[in-house]
Amino acid sequence: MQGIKLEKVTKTYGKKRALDNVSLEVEEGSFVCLLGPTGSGKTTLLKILAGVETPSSGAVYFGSTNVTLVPPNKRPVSMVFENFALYPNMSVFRNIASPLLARNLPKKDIEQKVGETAKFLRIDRLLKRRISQLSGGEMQRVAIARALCKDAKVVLFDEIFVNLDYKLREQMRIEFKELMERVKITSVFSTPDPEDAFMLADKVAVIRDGQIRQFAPKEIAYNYPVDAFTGAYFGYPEMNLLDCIVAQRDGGLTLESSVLQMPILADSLRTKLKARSYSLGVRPEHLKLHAEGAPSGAVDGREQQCILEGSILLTEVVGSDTIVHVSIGSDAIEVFTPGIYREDVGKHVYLSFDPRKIYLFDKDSGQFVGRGA
Amino acid sequence: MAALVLENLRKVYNRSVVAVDDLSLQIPDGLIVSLLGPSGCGKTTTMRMIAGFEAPDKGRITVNGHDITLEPPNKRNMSMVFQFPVVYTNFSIYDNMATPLRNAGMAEEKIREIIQATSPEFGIDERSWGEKASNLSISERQRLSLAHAFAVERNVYILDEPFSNVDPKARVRLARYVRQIQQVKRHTIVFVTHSQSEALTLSDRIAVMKEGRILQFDTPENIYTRPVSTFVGWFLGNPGMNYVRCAARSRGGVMALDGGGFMATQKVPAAYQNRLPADGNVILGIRPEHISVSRTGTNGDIPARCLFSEPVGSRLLLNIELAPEVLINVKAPTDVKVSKGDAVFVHFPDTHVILFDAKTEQAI
Repeated sequence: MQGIKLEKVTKTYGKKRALDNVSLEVEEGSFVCLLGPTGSGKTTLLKILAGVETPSSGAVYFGSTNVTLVPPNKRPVSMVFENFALYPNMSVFRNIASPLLARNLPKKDIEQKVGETAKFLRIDRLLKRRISQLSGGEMQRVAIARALCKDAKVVLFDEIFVNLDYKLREQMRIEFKELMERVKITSVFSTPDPEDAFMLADKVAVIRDGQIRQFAPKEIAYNYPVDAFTGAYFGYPEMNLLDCIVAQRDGGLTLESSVLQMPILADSLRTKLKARSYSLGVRPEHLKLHAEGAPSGAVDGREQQCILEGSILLTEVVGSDTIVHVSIGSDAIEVFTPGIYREDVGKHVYLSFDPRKIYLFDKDSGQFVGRGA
Repeated sequence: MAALVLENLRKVYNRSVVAVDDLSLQIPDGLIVSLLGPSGCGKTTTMRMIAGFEAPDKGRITVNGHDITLEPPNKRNMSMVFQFPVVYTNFSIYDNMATPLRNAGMAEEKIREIIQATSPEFGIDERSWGEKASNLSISERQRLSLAHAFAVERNVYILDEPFSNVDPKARVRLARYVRQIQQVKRHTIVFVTHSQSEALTLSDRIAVMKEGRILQFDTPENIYTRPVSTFVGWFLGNPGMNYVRCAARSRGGVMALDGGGFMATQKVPAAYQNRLPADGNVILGIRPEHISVSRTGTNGDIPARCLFSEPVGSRLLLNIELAPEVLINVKAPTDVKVSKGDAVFVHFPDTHVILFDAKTEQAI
């Protein structure tokens, strides 16, 4: 088997198009994150891969075999749900063995297979325990062990961290990452949380309104998002977008808004621009906060900086870092600041950023136009 | 405005479940204080005793020195905002805000004045005053609940998980209104939350609770950097503090920490050395963002292996194996070029290392 493939898959429920002409190829052994907001079609896509839903049109391939009409139990695929769907009153062993027991395999074979898998996932010491006695992280391992035991070649994870207590989520995500690095099985993982995608994915598929907007290695999606939605959504925190226009000045072309005037440094970008409206994208991690007056001279060794001026709306701590919300004109801008930082609401501040790091999108279509350098 | 003092509060349910256990806390006048802890830590019971919904089995509650332990809720001069917004759905936005003022017998003219002042503090446009509350979204209802609560001058304002059911964008906005109004008016606010991020964002002081007791009561910065126990260090931060079990031995100004498979040598204050447990068994605690990792290393660094390395936003999250089964999380700048499988060197800066007694898990 060599990976899985969706070819021009459309799924309609009545008049609603849950999936709209989706094509996606997942290479063998790779981990793909399906990232999108609620209602974007993530679960439908997973169900079609699992075989519990049939596409309205299009085809599904496992390796070179067309499995579009193959029922779920005949596909080498396993699905892991948010609550793991384990049998709470059964032992860990029985849970992991359940797909094998259903196949009436010899007891000795089952014991060997379960033992090996449990050892690999470091839960061999838990085999006799009941599910109700396990921690969340241990349950996660049991669910994955069961999927592997089924001899699944593909594992689908449907928003498995979504309703977890944030502390548990953080811990399970790290454990899950470490685990999947060793398991290396073809996986599709759906989530609305960009942090999951950053942490876990080889490639990210950003989905919205039933369409895959971008399917790319995550570095590519981060550096060259195809549109403003993808740029904003695949960011942690989200990318800031500011309306601006292109103007001709003495020194050349500039991007301008009521709060900003910045030079366009990249030749490649200059030649593409027309006198019209654009969305200027600046990632929160590319902005630097200056609480004690305007920066003079170079910032982080960079001479050419753009400066914005505004006032603090809120210093919001998230985990071990702080997102500083700053009001600039009529816009609210987010600045990522490492560490725990507290400042009064209303404090006057300056923000600086390197014009090379910007993103530019067409205002009307949202399409990506270019980077600052 | 008032100073709120809780003295030796105890509450037992069904004769056996100790919800709050000998809890004492002094909430100074004009500060936002968070009761922070996981579910079942006793923060809700404590809050209910402050509000008067629950009588303590033992102990005393005073406001500005006046004993209110047995006062009914409506006599305590406190306002409350709950997890689920409570609004009069048949009333207009204006009438919702006016109701507690009318109940207090205030003149309509004065009421209008107060609502005129309160509305902008919560971003409520005067033109929307006539709208029925039943048309509002959950976030807007919660905003109205907050405006409604803060419209009246109270001794204490109690906010019980007020942001749990609002979307993230509204959460930021509502948190800003609360911060701003408190900055100006210096209200005394008790904020109950399970979210360390919300507590760190809003509070002047945080009381970290577990199993009916307060583990630590301090400023957000101190709680974060100087946790008194391994639980506090783990509960705050994402990821939380790393812990490594070691056998400590003092050797002339430095401490050798033997982790079984690796050795860390740290300069620690002399005071530490005298307080080491007799058997020398300690837990070394250090936050992921304070650890330095490099490919080359210098003398004294710990050789280790990188299990995974992923850029998350502007930083790398690394998982490092110090010894078999001894894993730590590291947050490093992206210019630290470390990849999965690399041999690396780890350094724990002395000032960021906290030692805990391995038995009690309390900071030494």
